[in-house]
Amino acid sequence: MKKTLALVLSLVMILVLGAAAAESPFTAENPGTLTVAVYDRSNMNSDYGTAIDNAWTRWIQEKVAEDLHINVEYVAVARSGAESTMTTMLAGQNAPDIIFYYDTNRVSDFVAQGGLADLTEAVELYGENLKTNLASTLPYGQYDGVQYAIPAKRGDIGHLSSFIRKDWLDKIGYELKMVDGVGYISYNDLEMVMKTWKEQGICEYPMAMTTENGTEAETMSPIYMAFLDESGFTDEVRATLPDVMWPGIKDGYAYLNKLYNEGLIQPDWAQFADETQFNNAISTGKAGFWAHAYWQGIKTQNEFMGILAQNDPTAEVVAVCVTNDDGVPAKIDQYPEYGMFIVVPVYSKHVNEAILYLDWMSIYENFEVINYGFEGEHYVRRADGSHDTTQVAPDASERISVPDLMLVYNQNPDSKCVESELITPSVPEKWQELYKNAFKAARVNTYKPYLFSKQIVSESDYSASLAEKLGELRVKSITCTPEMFEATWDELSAEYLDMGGQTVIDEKVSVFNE
Amino acid sequence: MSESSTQKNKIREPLGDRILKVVVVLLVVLLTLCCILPILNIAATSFSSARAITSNEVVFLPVEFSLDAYKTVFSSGPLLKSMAYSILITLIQVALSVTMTVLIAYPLSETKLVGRKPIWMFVLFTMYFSGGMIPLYLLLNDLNMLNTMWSLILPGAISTYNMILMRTYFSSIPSALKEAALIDGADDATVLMKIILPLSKSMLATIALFYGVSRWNAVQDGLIYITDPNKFILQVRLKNIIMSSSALDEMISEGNNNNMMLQSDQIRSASLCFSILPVMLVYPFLQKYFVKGVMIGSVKG
Repeated sequence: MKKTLALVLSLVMILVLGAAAAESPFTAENPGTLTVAVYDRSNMNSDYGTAIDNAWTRWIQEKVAEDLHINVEYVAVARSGAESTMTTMLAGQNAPDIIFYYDTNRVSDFVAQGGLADLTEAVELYGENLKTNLASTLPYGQYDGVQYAIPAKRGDIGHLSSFIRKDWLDKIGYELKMVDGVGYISYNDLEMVMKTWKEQGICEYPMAMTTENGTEAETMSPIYMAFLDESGFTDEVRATLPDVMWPGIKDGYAYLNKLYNEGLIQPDWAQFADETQFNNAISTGKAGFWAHAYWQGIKTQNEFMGILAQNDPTAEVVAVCVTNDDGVPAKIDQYPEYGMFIVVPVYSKHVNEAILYLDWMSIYENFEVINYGFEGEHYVRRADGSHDTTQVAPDASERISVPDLMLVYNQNPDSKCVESELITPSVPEKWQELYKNAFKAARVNTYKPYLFSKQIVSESDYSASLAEKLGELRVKSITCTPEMFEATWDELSAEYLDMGGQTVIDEKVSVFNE
Repeated sequence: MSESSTQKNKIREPLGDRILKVVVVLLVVLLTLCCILPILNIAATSFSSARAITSNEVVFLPVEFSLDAYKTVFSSGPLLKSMAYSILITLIQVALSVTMTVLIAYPLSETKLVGRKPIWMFVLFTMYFSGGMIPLYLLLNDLNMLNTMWSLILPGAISTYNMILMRTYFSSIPSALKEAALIDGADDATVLMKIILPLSKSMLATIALFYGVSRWNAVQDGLIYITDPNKFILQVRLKNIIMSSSALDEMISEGNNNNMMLQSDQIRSASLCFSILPVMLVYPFLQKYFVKGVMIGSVKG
């Protein structure tokens, strides 16, 4: 009698909620339990609470208990080194029911070792909203047809953009071709422009570059990818080879080598392990051209674009795409459409609760509260459905890192919303147009990174040393003399292939062709 | 040729010696500068404005003096709590470890101990080999010590290296003292408490310092074993704060997640300076023991 009453009441409640939440097998008398990992960034003061206990976690816990009859508890994981901590907890049989990784290699490794729970059935039964809202990303989490991970949906796939000092272009009388707020400059013109700046004494080293950790090429790829020979850029090439081996890229590095030897790049650009010199060159007006993740340095007053505005109020910066001689913009990488991979340990007894929780998270109304706050209190809804956080000026201390709780979406899944919500109250006014244009520049001509559905075993073994060797290749080929370029390139490429690079490529080719 | 000490003739040092002195002093000064200047830079950064920091204007003196960073740090409940918690753990660790190390080092320094060799081998083995991170984690999990301060204190309670130092020191105490006490009717415990320990004060202070410093600086275990934010040790919090802006792979993976808050350079330097404070306050008093400690265990007389 009690059971049927409970069933009837829960059905009524579901109808009242507008049939949004999935039908939960749990009831008030028989609630489910769930532990969820949360990043702790050590950025909350004691008034706000902690990463596992603040106004927003309590809101979620109340709502989930109400809607799904599941008692949720959070477990904090320090953000830096989070993935190793979660792996240790996983191996120690102590992990929360929901953990997540950005490193997809690790996830395939765990699948191969049998450490993750099979989510297929639970998603079938309880993941209605997941199946609709995350339809594009769920396949990435399937290994041999079995769902082992729920990949989050990434709303903003734009990554890189180049920037140029427009006021310096005006000084030398160069007319930059602009289309829809984004500039287009061919690499030959870029070289000419930078040489002119240097000759006229406007600056000493016009191009800012860095290798960030010694292996990343964010500040270089928007330039050398303009040399890509698209006819030879097949899917197999994209999937199996590192970018230095793509058709035409060697010429891109030869170009950078030329720029370096003409004195257009700071001689010690590669010696800084982090980006402080890069940021400094931009913010103190020493550099006229640079490339970076389009959203870096521009989101708050204290980052390098804000500092540039303070140091030099007359500076004008424009987002550009570097093109080849025919005007084709560089094909730069975009983020994959998935974000973090959310997984459940194989020994967890709460797989159903986990899927119900994630399913609940993927409902748009719940996402809105977690990502933006309450309507009227923290944001105003615009006519097109996007959220304006600039009108209602909330106390920033009311919402700290709340989107960390939103696992299934990395930003708003609707990229239109992402675009119109780019400008937050903290973005310096001077650069608001630039930010919007950089958003566009990051999407002009992109390629998607390829994700293998099977683990590439040799990659996990060799990845660290291969990344280092690649970094060495990038740096040395740019900083050597022009006469030595060919020899250096060939020598280091051969070394890369010898030390495991060829093994990884061969394995990737065989998996690709399966 | 030396003259008698009543005459005021100066003994001229050979030129080589004087040059050596100058070179050594120069080297030491350089090394000291290498240690002090980065700290000065951090301290100056913590007192400067954000604009000056990003424009690279801060070297060794604050530019555009501002106390904002410190206001934030001191009003941050979690940081102060972590500091108090770390100090507590360090004190408990020192007390516990010194006691336990004495209790194992003293018997092992007695040649008459039955089974001394096997016990010695047993303990020495742990200095070279260890089960690894995951077995230790599983053990602590089974003992329900995870997320408590004991997971940080007990695994490192006895450091074999320190134990060897203590044992060597105890062996160097003349056995005549012990025998005299035993003849007078003292038992082993009384010998230890009333004779050996009072003679070993400097060595105990040194070992206490070694344990204290290693506990204060350790961060890896705090990261893995403690998941309750209220119990984060200071070093873990500090790592989070400092790595939040320079953790490139995190930024790249998360992308343009609009609500990511980056810690400014100011806050990072202020947190660093804040965390150096306890150690800086304690070191001047224990410095002489540290210097002595380097020589402990070496041959005497």
